[in-house]
Amino acid sequence: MAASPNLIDIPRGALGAPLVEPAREAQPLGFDIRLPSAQLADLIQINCMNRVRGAFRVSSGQNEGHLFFEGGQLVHADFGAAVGLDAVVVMLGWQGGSIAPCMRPWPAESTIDMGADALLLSAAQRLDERAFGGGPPPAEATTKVVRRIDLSDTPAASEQKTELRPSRVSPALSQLQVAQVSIEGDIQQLKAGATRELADTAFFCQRMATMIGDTLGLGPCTALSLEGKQESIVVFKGRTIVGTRGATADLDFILARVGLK
Amino acid sequence: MNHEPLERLRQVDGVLGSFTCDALGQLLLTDMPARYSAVAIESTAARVANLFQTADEVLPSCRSLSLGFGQHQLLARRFRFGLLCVLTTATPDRQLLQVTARMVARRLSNRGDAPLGG
Repeated sequence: MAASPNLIDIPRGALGAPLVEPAREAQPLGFDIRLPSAQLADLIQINCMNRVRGAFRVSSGQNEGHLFFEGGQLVHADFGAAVGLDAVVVMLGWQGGSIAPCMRPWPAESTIDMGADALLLSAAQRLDERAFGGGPPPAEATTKVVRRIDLSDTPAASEQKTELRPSRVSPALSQLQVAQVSIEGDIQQLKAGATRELADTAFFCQRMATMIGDTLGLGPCTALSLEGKQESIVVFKGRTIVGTRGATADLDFILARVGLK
Repeated sequence: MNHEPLERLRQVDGVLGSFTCDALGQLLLTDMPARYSAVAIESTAARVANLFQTADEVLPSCRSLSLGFGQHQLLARRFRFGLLCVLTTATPDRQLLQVTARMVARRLSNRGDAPLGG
């Protein structure tokens, strides 16, 4: 993944949770942490993992974007007119800057509908395509507003709601089925037509592969692929087990990211 | 078991060893490093076959699978005789491995002492 803002400045509470609620932002109780080598992708993963709710300002030079976290997901991102994945890709491409919690009207709708792992993989693919293509992403490779989140009970949201424009989604990415399963085998999310069968297959294969790793002394299986001529399934394990299914060519970037290509 | 047909795979950069089994996971040939016991290899062959059988239920066209571990990969490909499984480091020469695996499979298919076909 390309370099990203390399300075995180997050006021934290006594128990280590970032102080992101606007009302508490003025009087942080914990530490201001400055990590010169931190990456924006790290912040996204940490905030999702800790189920942080709040808005963050990402600055780099004269550029400024915003990230909104809710319920273990990055639910919205904006940078100028760009929203969703488009905005995340832009911010991940910045070479340095700062990140801080901020007060911001809460978006009326989510522009991102995927977990942190899938989001960062998608963003990485965009960055790679941009690097190889030498130009901005094609017009059709933009993010679609796909899921509405009712956050009207939040004070900031009641004051002002940001109007979000719908746009188009990358055809290849939109056709990737994604199933997310907990380590215990509970299905957490099924997206883009993913079936319970895909979720169960991902979980079973990851466990079976880990048994192979244990038998041969290779350690747990981190990723696996079932490859067909036209269609394939890629499974990778982080905090959860994620199974993706789609055209074999469309899964190449995931295979590369998990070290299987 | 005569593992001579599999020796060619060891010439590929990153390949540590290999074995073949039938579609049900019955071990046919092994050319694995000595530190892996026969029991462990037999168990692995059965589980790889199980993975392919599982894959068949959701992905009928599944021809190969790759398992990634920290420092190793186990790559398996389906041939008419069964499965060819190759244990590699994390970064094998995949292009050469793919071609060599096809050559090995053809050679296995020509052997008179085993029901193999490429």
